Amino acid sequence: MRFRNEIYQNHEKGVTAMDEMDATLKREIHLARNIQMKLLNGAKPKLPSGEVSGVSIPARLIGGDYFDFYPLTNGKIRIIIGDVMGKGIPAAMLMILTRGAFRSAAEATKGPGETLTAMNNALYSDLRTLGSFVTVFCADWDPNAQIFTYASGGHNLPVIIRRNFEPLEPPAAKGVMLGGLPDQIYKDERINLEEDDFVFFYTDGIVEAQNREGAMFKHDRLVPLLIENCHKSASEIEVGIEKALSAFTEGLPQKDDITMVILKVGPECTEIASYNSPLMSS
Amino acid sequence: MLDVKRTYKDMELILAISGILDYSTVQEFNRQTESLQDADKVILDFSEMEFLDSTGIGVVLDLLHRTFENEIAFEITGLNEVAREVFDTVGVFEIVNAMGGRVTS
Repeated sequence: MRFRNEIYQNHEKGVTAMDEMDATLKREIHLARNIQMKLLNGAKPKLPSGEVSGVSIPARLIGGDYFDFYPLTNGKIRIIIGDVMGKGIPAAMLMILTRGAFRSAAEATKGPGETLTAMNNALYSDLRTLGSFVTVFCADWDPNAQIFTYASGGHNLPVIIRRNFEPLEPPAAKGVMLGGLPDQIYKDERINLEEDDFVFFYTDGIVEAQNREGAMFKHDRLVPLLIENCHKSASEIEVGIEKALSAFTEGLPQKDDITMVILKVGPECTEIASYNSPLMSS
Repeated sequence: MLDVKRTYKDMELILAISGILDYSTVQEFNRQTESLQDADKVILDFSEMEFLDSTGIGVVLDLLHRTFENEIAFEITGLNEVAREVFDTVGVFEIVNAMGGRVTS
């Protein structure tokens, strides 16, 4: 009888310990999600001209997609979007690592290519040890000179829609994903943009979203949707894309993390040029 | 669903992948590719693959590293247009080339 009671009590304790662990894990995952959402979807930087915005929606509570902005001198801004291999907690941990590497590199490098080179040098060993990698696309936007400079580490190019609603195919920027090969040198490409041009950076969770028939969203749907919405504000475009994806996937669970960054080009900043001109300081 | 058909002949191990290679099936891929049967060449045939995601790319690269470390030749074949574009974008071909592997149609 005593033996049976002990078994019953031990069983009770076992169930309780499991429940406690479940509750702790749930609480910690929600805290982790909170941290990630605050770091990712914080205040948007103010540009002297035009606007930039981004949003990330993980497939699970937390995810491996990443975007960030780093203000540079003279009103310029460095933008990055990335996608860590995998999903959930492991990918989110590496996302934080990537964020740290970007912010350190951005402080000390001259352009997007140098930034990615520095990031790969910093992260390669850890990523290889973990059998992981990160695809990234980095760009500098100079609203004064209206020059868009960019480099890619295994990530797709953004969609660029011109003011005349025509898509622009930018020069290819090839590069191996971070963690793929050591000692990589990433090269810059650059193009000029004009007022009312629009740049849409994204991760593959958007084009690979699937409907109930198994069809993918793809560029064929994304580009016309962007053309249709490019005259709206950045946050309106974000909402528009989210709604379109939601309608397309017909309520199916989100398969992959979804991230988008939008750059809307405003008028040329002649005021900034004057302010920073050496001839004006006295 | 994922299936890996193994064919071993003349010291060459052909791993023919069919189905989906993604987050949900990579463990099965690893299980089915754990043994390389003393091959001196491994060929990954993607002709019947329907879809792969970043985790799928990750295990392909793990296999590539494993063959490289064991001085086993490595080849990728049968990529469709979409998979070829994905591999090209992320840099898989550069990695394969850097490790002495081959990519064929």
